Amino acid sequence: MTRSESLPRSAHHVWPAERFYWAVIESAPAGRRDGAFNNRLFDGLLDEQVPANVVGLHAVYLTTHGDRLLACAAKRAELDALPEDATSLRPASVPAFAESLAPPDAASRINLLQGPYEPRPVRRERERRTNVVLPALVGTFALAGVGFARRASADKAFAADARASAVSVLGACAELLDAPTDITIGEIRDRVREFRLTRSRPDSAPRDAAGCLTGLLAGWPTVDGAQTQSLRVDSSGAHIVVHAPDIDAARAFASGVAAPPGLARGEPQVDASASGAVLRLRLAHQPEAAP
Amino acid sequence: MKTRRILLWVLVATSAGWCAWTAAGAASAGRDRAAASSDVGELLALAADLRDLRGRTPTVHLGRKDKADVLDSVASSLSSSGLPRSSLTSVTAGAESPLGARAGVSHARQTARVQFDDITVADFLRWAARWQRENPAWIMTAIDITPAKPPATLSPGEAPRARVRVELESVFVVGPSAGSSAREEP
Repeated sequence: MTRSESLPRSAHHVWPAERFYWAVIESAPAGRRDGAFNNRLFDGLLDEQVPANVVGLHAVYLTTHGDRLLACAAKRAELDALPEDATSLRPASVPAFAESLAPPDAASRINLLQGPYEPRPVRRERERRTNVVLPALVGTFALAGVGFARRASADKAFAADARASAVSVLGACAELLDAPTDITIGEIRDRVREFRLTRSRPDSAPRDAAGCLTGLLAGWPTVDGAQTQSLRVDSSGAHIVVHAPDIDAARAFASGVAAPPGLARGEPQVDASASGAVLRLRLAHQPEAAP
Repeated sequence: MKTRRILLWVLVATSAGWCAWTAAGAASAGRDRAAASSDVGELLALAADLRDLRGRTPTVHLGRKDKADVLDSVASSLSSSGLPRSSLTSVTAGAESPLGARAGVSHARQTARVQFDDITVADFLRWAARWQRENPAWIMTAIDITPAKPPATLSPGEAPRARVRVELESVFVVGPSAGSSAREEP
């Protein structure tokens, strides 16, 4: 290790390599950075390799090929003696033993004035930037926070209105279903599904014979001695068989039968029998009009 | 200077924390809004469906009706129309026939036969009206009326008695068809 004696007075200082303490640190710990940097955690490793008390030294470290660091240190007393306007201090070259390890521009990348020896103008500039950036960050976060808070407030108000509407619609649904007012949306969903299933046939519904029978009986004729033998109402229409005392009574009965809506009277068939006459009358469903 | 910088960093950290907290609150409120909005939308649609479907007559059973079910329904309608149980002669549940699937739901048709051997036509009409009101999904597809007694055997003023055979038909849901949604459009 070598050191120099001269102290030139200019902003950028270049000392011969011999004025610095040099060392190569093998298997550098993880967490190191690229480029030259000052880190007191590495000073302990330097202690074993320089012929001086490391407490009195200020070192910077340069990453080299592999896991090694090139340490470059100077006496604190000499650094303290640098003029106040000094902005950089670097070696003119790296020592011969480190040339194969260090990158070609290693000497120009080293600057001892880092950390506690950071030049005042540089520090002032950094502090000035900090004084601008940090308040800007505070303002940005505050504005964004206000925006988020306003958005949350609007969304909460909307959700509250929507819930109030939901309660009102739930009440209306409960009323439609004759259900308790505490009915849930799931229960309503189930009831609607049930309604859909039960109130829509997959085919065309058959004709209702009861309605047809009621309509037919409403206009049922009364003829003396006429007795109904059978009356059938089905999907094709109505079939009537009546026994009458004679043919005239049978015809009178036939003409008295009123066809309910949707049924058309057919031609009555009257046959004489040993005990009188038998009337057969068919009323057929009329085809439904096309929609 | 150092104190000021520390204070600034504290302010940055505080404002960043507040910003993150309000952002989380806004996200949560946004989810609440979306959920409430979705609930209201669904409820409005359900209410519209309800208003539409409620006025329709149920024409499909949700499940099979076996003979016991039909017998119970007939007995119930007899009772509610004021007729004695004895006026009913028989109830027979018929065979099922598949109707296929529609909108993911399988349907089947079922028939039943109800017979009264000694009933007046007026009583039968009263029962039929009650039956239709109480069991709209069971449709009377055929009614056959014949005299139960010869008119000559009737006492003076006695209403003619009739033998009535009624054929009923119902459609019921078997279940969702495979690989389909059970939702059905009206």
